[in-house]
Amino acid sequence: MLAQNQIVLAADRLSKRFGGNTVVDQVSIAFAKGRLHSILGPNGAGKTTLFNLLTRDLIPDSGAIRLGATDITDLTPDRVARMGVARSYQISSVYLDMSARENVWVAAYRARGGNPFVFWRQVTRFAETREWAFSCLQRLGLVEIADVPVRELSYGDQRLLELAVTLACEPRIILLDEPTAGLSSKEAERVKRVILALKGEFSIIMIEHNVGIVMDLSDEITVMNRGAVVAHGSPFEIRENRDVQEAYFGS
Amino acid sequence: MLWLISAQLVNGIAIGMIYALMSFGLSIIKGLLNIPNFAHGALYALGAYLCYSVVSLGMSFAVGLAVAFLGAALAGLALDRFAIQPVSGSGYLPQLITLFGAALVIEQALLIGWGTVGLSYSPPPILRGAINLGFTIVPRYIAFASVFSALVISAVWLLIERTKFGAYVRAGIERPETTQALGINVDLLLSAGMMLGAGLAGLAGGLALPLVGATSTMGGDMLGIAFVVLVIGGLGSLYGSIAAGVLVGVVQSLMTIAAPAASTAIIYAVMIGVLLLRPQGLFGER
Amino acid sequence: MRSSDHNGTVLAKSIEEPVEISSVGTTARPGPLTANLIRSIGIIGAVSILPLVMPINIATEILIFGIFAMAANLLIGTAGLYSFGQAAFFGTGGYAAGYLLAHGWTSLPLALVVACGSGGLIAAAVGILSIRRLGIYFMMLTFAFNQLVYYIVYSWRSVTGGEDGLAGIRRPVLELPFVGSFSFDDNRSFYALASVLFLATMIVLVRMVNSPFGLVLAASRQNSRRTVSLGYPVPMLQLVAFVIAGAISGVAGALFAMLYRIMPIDSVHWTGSAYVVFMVVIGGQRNMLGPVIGAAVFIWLQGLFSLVWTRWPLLLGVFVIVIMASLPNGLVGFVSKLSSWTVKGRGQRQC
Repeated sequence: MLAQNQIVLAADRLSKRFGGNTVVDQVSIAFAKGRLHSILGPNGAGKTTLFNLLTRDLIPDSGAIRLGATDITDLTPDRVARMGVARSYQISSVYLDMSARENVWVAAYRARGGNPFVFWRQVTRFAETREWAFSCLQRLGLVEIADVPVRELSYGDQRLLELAVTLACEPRIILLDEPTAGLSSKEAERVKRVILALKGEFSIIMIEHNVGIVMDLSDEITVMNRGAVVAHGSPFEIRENRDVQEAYFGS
Repeated sequence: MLWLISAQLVNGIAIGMIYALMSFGLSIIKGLLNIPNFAHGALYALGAYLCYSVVSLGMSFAVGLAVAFLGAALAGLALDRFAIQPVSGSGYLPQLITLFGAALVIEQALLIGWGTVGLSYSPPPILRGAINLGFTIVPRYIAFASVFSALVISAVWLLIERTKFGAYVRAGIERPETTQALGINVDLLLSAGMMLGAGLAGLAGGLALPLVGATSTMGGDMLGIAFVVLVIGGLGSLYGSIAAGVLVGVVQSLMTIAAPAASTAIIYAVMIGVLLLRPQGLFGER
Repeated sequence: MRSSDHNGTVLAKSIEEPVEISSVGTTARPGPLTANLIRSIGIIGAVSILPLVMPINIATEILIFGIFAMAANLLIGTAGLYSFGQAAFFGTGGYAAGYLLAHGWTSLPLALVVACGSGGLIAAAVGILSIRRLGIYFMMLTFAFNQLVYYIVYSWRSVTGGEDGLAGIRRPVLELPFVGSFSFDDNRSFYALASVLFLATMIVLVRMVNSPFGLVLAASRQNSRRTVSLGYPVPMLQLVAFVIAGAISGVAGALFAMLYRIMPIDSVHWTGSAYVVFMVVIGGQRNMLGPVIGAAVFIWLQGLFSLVWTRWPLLLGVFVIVIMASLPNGLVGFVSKLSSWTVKGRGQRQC
């Protein structure tokens, strides 16, 4: 279905159990370069767990993960991150005690190969990192609020900042976990436009409950239920799939 | 030699049961309030001193133990009301600091009330002497302390596993967010948990009185041991601390045969070993 | 639960404001460079005046515990690692340097290097075993290791003097080529030595908090998982911070041993660990000045209470509870809250 050289990230029969529950069950999935690939499914379908396995935040019980041609199954999460896999979290995970500028700086510094064991030189002295971080804020229209403590920002701005942080990682692949969760429809629309602008430039994998957004943005959709893949196809194919309609759309 | 070893083994079980009482109380408080109770050692010392006062007034040792439990439980309630609750909204460190302040207050109050000289007390006549088991001789008090601690631990275990209060405690430990949703008065639950945990520490102090006496430094020493026991047992496990307490007591006692000076250091060595081999503790889940 | 999630205050900010902001047009406020200069002069001035307004040994003690508290704040305020075992490293440094000074080695650089090295080494050992344990586990472990060090000091009489403490410590001598040698037997010259080390520690730690290391450490305090997902080896960063704090605590311990020419066993007791956490909390973790103020208040109170009553720790305990209930963010937090009502919008660091 996909030419081998187009696959940027792939899972091969990946499984994860918690106690007696198999949360991700023998999932094989491949993500293609430059495409926006969404994962749909009811709560508890194992979507976020799959994300955590792909970024190695969780250790899979069995199966393999490949990033391009490299097997990353046994790497640590910070190593995986440094290989160009960036993610946003379902619950906002920006640094609340810092400014937006500092948030993006932390991501940008590491992405530019910065060494965290620098003790004397001041954060303010890294001109290149600063400019790159600033351009990420610019891209998401956050320049106005760059120096406000993040704690004081609206939830919508925090979600956008989370995207800016993800961008600052200079990723090859972006994993978005429910980017519009908890947002008003107006704020969700803003996030949607941002994702649309990023599409094509990056390979994006997205978990999203807002079916409208998924259908509008996605190139490909995989539907999961109870830890397994139940369907895969274009938005059109998924919409027409009877099993999916019953299992997920409930009609 | 074999006789010595078995005597120390029995001795170790008794001391271990007292450790288990301490750590079980600490574990309940930790589970419910999510804090390490830095005043736990002071409550243990309070129990020992209260028990001493009661028996020196001519009342029975049983009353002494009851007063040790109740007195420490009341002190626990006071701690919750005056040291923990006033700062519970302002984060984590203030609670630890006020608990530490409370420990200072209790320990100094003990010195004011009972003086700086260590106190000792022999068990009541009925618990003096020894029982001959054939292969070894067990001092009566050692046997009593072990059996009594086991009974208390079992009673608290039944309380937690079988009663409505216990169900709330377990819910509070396992799923703190749902207790709120169930409409339980969380403050009351936390106070009750604090009282129970503190009471167990006081009882342990009372039980330890005939064995080690009452001294001003007993609280701090015991606090370190109780933390070690909890780490060895595993923090995720409410009951792991009981087994770990007995284990630590036995190891420490047996060590006094080989190298008395190193008997305290050995329990830290056990802790380091457990940390290296099984970081989540013997009974903890990852 | 990760304990640091409880902590809501802004901790990472340092007293050093941005150096090169383009603060064009904001002539109403002094520029950051001027502000920095004023702060530096203020601190140096305060350090110079201190021995004039109180007994010189008390002033020296304030500086020593100021160093100790700043090191603890790197862990508590910046990294969010609530260590309750810092006295172990303070004690290790004090005993190691004290042993040398009591046995004929009097070189100041040697004593400081040994104090620094031994404090850091013990911290590395404790850190390797505890750093991956989160929240309550970490606190209990650091506490337990503190007790272990205490027992070792207590039982190793031949080296440490046991419960009598390590006596016979002599003040060190600094030999400089072409300049001559300085002895610190005089309390005023010893105060000068303490203030040089105090200021050096402050400069190093303030710069560290504003370096990439400090910012990433603060980031991992606020969200450790996120920081890992950005590609940082968080446990390694925390371990390094723990070792640095241990090494600096060791230097503070060595100065303490030199000050009274004895290393008392109480200095390695776990209450010392709790006291230093208290200094940090009472002063406020927002910047490195807070813990120093906390240390000053603590030493002053300790002196005051111990004059009043032999049971002074009781008064201290009551004071701790009252102050925590009324000022949970510490004195500096309280003062800056007052000032934020008058001055709106503090400048943020530009990076």
